[in-house]
Amino acid sequence: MTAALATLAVGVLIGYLGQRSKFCTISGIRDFIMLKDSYRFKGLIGIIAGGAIGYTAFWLIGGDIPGFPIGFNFDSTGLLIVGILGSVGMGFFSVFAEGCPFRQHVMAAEGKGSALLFLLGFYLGIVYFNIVTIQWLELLLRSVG
Amino acid sequence: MKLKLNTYRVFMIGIIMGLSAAVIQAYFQVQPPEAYGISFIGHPNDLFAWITNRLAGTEWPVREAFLVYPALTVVGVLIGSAAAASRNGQLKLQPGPVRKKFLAVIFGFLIANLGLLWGSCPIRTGLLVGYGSGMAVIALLSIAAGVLLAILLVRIRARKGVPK
Repeated sequence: MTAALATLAVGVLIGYLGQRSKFCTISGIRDFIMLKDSYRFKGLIGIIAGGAIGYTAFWLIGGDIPGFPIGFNFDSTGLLIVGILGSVGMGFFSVFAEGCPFRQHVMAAEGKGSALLFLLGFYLGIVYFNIVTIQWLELLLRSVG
Repeated sequence: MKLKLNTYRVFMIGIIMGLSAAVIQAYFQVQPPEAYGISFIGHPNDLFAWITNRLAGTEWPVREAFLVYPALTVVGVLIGSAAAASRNGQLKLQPGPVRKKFLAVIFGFLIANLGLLWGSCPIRTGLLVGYGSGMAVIALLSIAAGVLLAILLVRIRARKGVPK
């Protein structure tokens, strides 16, 4: 129950702040590469810095931060390849969708029609992944290793 | 609370996200996996799988932290964003940035599937980098490579579209 309530509270906080700042990781990278504008890119840097500070601090004071720091570990070559392909594809299509999944949720809450349609496709995509893609992925990983 | 749009505020919001994710992992059992405090691929998948499992009796995988009660990050973000938009007179139905409606649906569909292949959204990938994951560094660079490819494609199409 506490985990669910904690995620709800964090969601409300970052939703509010994200709407006011137009926070978006993909637009941050895009603006930085395309326009040399670092306004939103600093948000991504902030996440990495905040995460590093937070995990290190709580690890040092005895919080539940197992396996920190992770280092370079991956379960299989197949997962590495699939992870890279998924990441490249996510970055590519997010530019055309005008935002990362977080930004799309924020825009949908503002009432932006294309973001609402994006979320329709997004949740249909989740259903498709759990029914179809996951089976193909298991087959692929079994053959690649 | 009136937030001005300046660069340090965005950086500070990133810091708040990172620290919040660390707090809810360390003290609210939002794990495993590591750095799972905020994820806009994993948490929506867990929420949707949790609801579908309850309603349709399916057995879609749900992360351990959200087996009994669901991940509510998405619900929180929708509430928080709607509250902020309402407070500032921005809560109204409007077209949005993607002009062709069917493309918005397709992009959502593709991004969900591609994101689930890696298992993280760009925010959680950033958190994993902060957690010291080498694989996340590769994934973040891959996301940036995807963004670069899209920019190149846009530039090529724009050049072709300009009459000589």
